[in-house]
Amino acid sequence: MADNKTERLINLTLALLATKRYLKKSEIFRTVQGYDGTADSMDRMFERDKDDLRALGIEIQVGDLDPFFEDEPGYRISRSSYSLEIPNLSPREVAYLSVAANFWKDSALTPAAQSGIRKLKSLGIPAAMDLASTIEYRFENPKAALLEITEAIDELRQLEFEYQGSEVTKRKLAPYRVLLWNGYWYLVGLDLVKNEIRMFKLSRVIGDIRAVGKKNAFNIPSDFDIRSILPSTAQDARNLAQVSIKKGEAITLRSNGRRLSEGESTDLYEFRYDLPSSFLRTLVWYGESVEIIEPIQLRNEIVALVSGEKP
Amino acid sequence: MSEASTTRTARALDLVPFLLENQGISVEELADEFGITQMQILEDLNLLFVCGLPGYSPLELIDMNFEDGYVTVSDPQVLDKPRKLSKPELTTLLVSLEVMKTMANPDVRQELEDLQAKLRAVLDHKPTIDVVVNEPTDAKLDEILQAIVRGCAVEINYLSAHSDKESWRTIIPNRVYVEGRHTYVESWCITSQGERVFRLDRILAIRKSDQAFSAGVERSDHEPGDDYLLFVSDNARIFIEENSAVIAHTAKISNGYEVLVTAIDQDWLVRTIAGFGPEIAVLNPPALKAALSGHLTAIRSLYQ
Repeated sequence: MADNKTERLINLTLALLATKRYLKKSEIFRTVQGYDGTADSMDRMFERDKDDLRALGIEIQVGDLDPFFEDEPGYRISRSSYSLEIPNLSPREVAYLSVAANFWKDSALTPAAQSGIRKLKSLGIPAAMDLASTIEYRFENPKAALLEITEAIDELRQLEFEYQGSEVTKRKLAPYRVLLWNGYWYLVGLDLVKNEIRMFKLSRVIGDIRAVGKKNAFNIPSDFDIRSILPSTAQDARNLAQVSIKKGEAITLRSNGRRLSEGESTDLYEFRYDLPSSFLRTLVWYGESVEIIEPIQLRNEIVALVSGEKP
Repeated sequence: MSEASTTRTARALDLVPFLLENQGISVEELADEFGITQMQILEDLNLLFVCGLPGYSPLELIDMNFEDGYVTVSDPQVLDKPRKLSKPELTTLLVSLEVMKTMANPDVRQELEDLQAKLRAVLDHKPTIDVVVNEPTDAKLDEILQAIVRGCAVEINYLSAHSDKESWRTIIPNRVYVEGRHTYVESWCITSQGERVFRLDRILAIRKSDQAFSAGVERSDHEPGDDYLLFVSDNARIFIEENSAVIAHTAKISNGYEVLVTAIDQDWLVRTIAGFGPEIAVLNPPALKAALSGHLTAIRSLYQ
């Protein structure tokens, strides 16, 4: 049964690809192997087959056979819309794509990466062999729903999900982008309850992410730039602190700050930071090698932190 | 339960053009390439064997031979070109190239960008995934990669993560990997006669080594480290996310997690958890608890 159906789908694809003119439904039923039964049941069969092929990304063109005599539409698949053609793809580029496709070991992206690269290998362009990849990329395994999310972004559909913050909340989002940031996956978009651009760590989403409502439900601002919403880097952080560092110590820390003055046993450095909690964690790492001089507020916070008070 | 006929149809349509470019491939390799069993491949081939164009005479059928365990196609009919890439396939390949770009030198980055532009142009694709890595690409990476390809040793001036001290070491780099925001170099360290992992941003300088590559060096496994058991509160979840490489086990308990940390230097662990204050507590061993409280007391005394 399943075999028959698969055979019919393949034969239908071949027949529609081979024809230069549009084929009438009656011609298809008469010539393509696998259509039988009453006119009604063949009609239903054909409608389902068309839907199945479209779900596979195969475009079936519908056209008028002869506008003067018939109103019955005809069907065909154009070679150019069916097949993959990438002009001037070089052997080196095929090699890059092969390396790229192998990143996704046993993850939600593996099947798409593998089937994609197989199609590219079927183009008949040899892959350049001298390109050995010696860098391995390790990142958080992407969630199974990753490609569905990208589809929702593509179709401009809203998403709903439950999110583990300090407590579990229900979120509704106009999704703008998926982001792989420093090895972790995030979903970025307009939070429709808070009416703000927000970032969500995908690993903290609980259960399913559901696409809801109609397509084209919102617009992504054309000037949207993911970097504008990422926490700022050290250079443009807003807060300033002065820290004294013992001679010859905290070498790594020094490279992130600006030296203000040199003393006898310590040097004075200035640092920029955004989140006090994460800056304090860094300073505590260096133990007694570093001492906060200013601001007083931050001095008090580090004392509280190392005395076991809640930050 | 048999698989969906659409899945099978898609695979069958992709098989024929793939076979055209890989004439004489064995059924075994083919099964491997498509990620299915040899039995399934044979069923697919048997199915394709009876498909073709209307008329379905021998001249109109897909003609192939696979009786001896090797597959050749002599007439693909109209299936001589692969199907165009689906959106998931394209999205996945583009994001992979984006990942590669983060670590590439400027020349390669340009090549990868041109390739992305080519794929996007053909398939009319809007970007949906961004990739951002905070650590900028580093010229030292190229020197390390070259040493790996040539299998030779280099000398590095390295800033230790544990002691915050720098020293020159001679290493034979084996492998480079990117994890989180950092790039790591897995190496055989001749200086300390053991396998060591170095963080690229802590390598302050690289110079060529005179030391010949001695292929016979014994590579010992990692020293088994101590196990450390921590309580990590919900608010300090970031500790778990950022240090998954050294976390052997996590169990959810009320208002937090019990976390088992292994194979890590105790001093590093003390310094790292100290900054979380009461959000992370040591459950075991007592020695770690004592070291932590010593670290905190030392800081506290600075401010008295």
